[in-house]
Amino acid sequence: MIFSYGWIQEYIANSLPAPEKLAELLNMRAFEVEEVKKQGDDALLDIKVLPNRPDAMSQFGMAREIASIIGSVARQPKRKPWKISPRLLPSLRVRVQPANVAPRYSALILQGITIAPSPLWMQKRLATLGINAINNVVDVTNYVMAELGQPLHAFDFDTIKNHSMLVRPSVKGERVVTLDDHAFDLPEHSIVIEDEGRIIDLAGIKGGKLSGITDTTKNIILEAAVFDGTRIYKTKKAIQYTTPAADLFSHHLNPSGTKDALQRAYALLLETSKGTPAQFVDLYPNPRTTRPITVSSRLFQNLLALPISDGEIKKTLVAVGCGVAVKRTKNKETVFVATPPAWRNDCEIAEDIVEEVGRIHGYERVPAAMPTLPLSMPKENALLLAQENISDSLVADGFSEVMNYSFVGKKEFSTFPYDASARKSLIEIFNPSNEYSTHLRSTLIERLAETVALNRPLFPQQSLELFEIGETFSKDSGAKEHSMMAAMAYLPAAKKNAGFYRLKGVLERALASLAIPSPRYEEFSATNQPLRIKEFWHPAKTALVFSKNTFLGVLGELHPSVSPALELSFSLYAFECDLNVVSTLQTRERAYTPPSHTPGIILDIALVLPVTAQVQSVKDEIARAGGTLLKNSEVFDVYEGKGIREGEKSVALHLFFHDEGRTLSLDEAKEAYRAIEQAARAKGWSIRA
Amino acid sequence: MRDIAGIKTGAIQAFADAKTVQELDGVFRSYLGKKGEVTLILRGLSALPKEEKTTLGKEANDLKKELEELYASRLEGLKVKSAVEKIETEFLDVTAPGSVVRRGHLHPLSLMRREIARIFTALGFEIVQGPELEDEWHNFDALNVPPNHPARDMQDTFYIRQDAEPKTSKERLLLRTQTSNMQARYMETHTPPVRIVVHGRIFRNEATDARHECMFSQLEGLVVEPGISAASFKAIIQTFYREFFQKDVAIRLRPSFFPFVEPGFEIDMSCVLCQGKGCQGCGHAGWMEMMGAGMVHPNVFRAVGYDPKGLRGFAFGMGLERLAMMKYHIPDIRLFYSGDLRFIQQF
Repeated sequence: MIFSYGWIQEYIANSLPAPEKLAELLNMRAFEVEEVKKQGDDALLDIKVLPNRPDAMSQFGMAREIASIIGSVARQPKRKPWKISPRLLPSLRVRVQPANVAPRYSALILQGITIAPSPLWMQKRLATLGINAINNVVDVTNYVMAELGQPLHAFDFDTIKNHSMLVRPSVKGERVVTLDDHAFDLPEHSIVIEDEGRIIDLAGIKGGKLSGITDTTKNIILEAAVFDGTRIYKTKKAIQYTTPAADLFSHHLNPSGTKDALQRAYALLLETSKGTPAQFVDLYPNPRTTRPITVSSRLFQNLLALPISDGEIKKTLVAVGCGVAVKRTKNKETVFVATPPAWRNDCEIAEDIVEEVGRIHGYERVPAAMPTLPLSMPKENALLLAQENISDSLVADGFSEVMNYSFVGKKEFSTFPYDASARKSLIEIFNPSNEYSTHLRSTLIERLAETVALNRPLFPQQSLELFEIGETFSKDSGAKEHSMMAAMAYLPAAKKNAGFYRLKGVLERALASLAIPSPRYEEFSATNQPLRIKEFWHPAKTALVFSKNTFLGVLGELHPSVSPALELSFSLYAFECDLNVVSTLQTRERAYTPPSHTPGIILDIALVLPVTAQVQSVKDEIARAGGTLLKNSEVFDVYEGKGIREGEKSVALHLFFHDEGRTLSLDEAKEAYRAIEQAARAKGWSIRA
Repeated sequence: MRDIAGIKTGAIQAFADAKTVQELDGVFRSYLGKKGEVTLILRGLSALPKEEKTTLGKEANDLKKELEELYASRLEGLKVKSAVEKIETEFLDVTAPGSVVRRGHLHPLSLMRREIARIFTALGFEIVQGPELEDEWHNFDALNVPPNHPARDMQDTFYIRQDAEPKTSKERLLLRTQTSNMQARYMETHTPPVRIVVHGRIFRNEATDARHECMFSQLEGLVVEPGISAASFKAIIQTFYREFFQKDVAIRLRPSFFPFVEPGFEIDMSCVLCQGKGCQGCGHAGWMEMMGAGMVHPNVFRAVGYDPKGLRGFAFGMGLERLAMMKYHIPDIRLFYSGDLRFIQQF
């Protein structure tokens, strides 16, 4: 809001500090000053008045604030009380229904006005604030609003049908044409004034065309009302139109100043026109009262630790316009009973009073002092611990962390194989900002894939490995929000299916960093696990990941339709796990097992079996046949191609034989080895020489 | 009798004269090989008379042992010598690139969160996170935000489409607009003292440009303890910024207004670029706006079921992106969520 330094100075007896100094002072004591601009011999200050301080949203209001800061007094502008001459004009009947649309409705009716230009000084002042001069009546309403922060409006008395005004909420679809020739179709919560069947005013925002002041206006209604701030705010948002009056009302104006504003307007109008007060309307069913607030002097210490004496507290409270009584309690404590000034809306509790004293006295006087508190060990956040360890593991493996938008929408629906039930499981935004962000992501996969696509042209021929840790949302489970971790790889140079095994290794290492034992994998098809959008995954190349019996997540290749839709030439591989589940499995426990003192024997075996046979089943069979001497088997090669028949593969394993406490003989190991060979042959697998 | 002494003198000389391992081996063979001079003597012993056999046998065996030792020590010397000599013929281009060992990169906001968590944990704070999908009560009502406050507008807050029309603010769902929802959630389930730091995503229904996003990361702090005041807050936050920026910064409190605190403060920090002298980075003010803060409003205590009498707390909140932008000289807030690896890989 723009304030004139010269204008403000007129209300204050002492000279103001220079504009820049004043700006700094306001910054520290009241409001942020955004800009100080020289204008002729004046300076304009652009001040961000806090939203709970409409009392300072005017030139005089700001002068009053500044006076309290610099220890001076702001003089009230000159007002003129009136003497009503009854029966000059027919009586105006005003009703406010319901009463809460206008907590106060005041109006002064003047008879015998001459429309003329306003005085030059007033025109100049208005120009300073960027307001065009129109005529004496309209200019006075604008001037008083700028000066006192109470919006005024002038009606032509003779245009009001039946001398009747009804202030009421609008009905949806009602239409009003304002003075500036805008036609508005109103929502239902606006406030309008109706005479006899016609809407003559968009109350609190802009006057109606039907009742405006013209060059031939003789009798006027000067309205100084306080309309319900919420309704005004909602209306200006709904019709996307605002005025300075509407902005003021939106801050919930204090109703105490309507009569003063009318007296000020009357005084100013008399400079250019005659005019006889014919009626004063003042509908104020629930007058505002200011309650005294009791504040113990201890509270100033407790909240702000301000070094301030009782005398200074009292002086500061008086400076901001409070009535103050000082009492001593039985325990010799000073207690202030402060009655906030009528124009302040924002002083309601003891803390508000402390704030007034604190800021006027200066927050820079608040010392910095570390509190003396009992030592306590903060509880560790298990989820964050898991997140950090996994991130570190993924980063060490070459994956980079991205943070993608939490929304999905039009683009994802056309790129990913959504079916109707998948769409339905998404949580929808009621008021999305655009069609690309209409729902909340239910998985990290979509945006990760898009991020790969976005980076592909930036890093041609390179593999792209990304991960994200973040929240996902879904309707279909008990909890609506899940912390997930997902990684994705795009490997242009890799062999077929290599991406799957790479991610498998990366996932296992990440889990190992949390001391979670190697997971087991189940085929994806025919699962009844609660999966996020199963359709995104390749049905034949995806695995469910479990740790013992706990379901962790999914690992696999993305559905073959995804890469082409993103203009990617190769498959995408990914895993996504529930971070909350992972974090509950992590452990800090480690136990040492001493290495054996007796040597073991390693023998290798290579088996040829159908490509569809699982390596796990080979290991299981070997473990069964190997007896107690076989401690472990480890796959070191899986091979298809030259030397192996079509439809078959070779699986080579190291077999570890050992017997604790004694040195195993080769013959014993070979005997166990032969049992394994025999079992393999029984399975129909051949032994590769 | 063979001239053992003569052989010995010759052998020592020959070992000494050998210049390479090959020459040395040759010398060795000529004395101790299958047909070596000493080997032959030893083999011929059996044909000698007993007395001579004993004397010569001992001498020859002693010589053999001596020569073997001599050989071993000469061999080692020659190996070292040849390794050292080889150095002169060797070359390595130390400027050629190392093998590419790919490492990934943490997102700068993750780096930021870790740094913040490190500092606040050391100060005794618990790090907590809360739901992004929140109800209106925890996001607004509990924080003393009046029912018709503009922040609750559709223009500012994302609401969720719900199957059943929500009847109360506890039922109405939205995307949290501030991490302060965790103030209410944490206090509901914990009794004072409270010392927490919250970080996480928040959402605002805003048009995006270089300085505005519809999604941000926020950092929030809350302390509720007997005996704390604005002075404690000032000291803690000053410590945080000093540690975070590794610079001796000052902070100042200015009046501000947030419904959930009273009094409310705006917090400025002395500019880290110019140490408060005034530069382009701080708009020549010498100060940078860092966060909003204040003493917890008694209504917030009431909302979560605390008795506000005698209870005090302070709360603060700031944007993580802004902090990262200052720390890493990032000009555009949209970079954080762009997914552009050219950005991520610089951290």
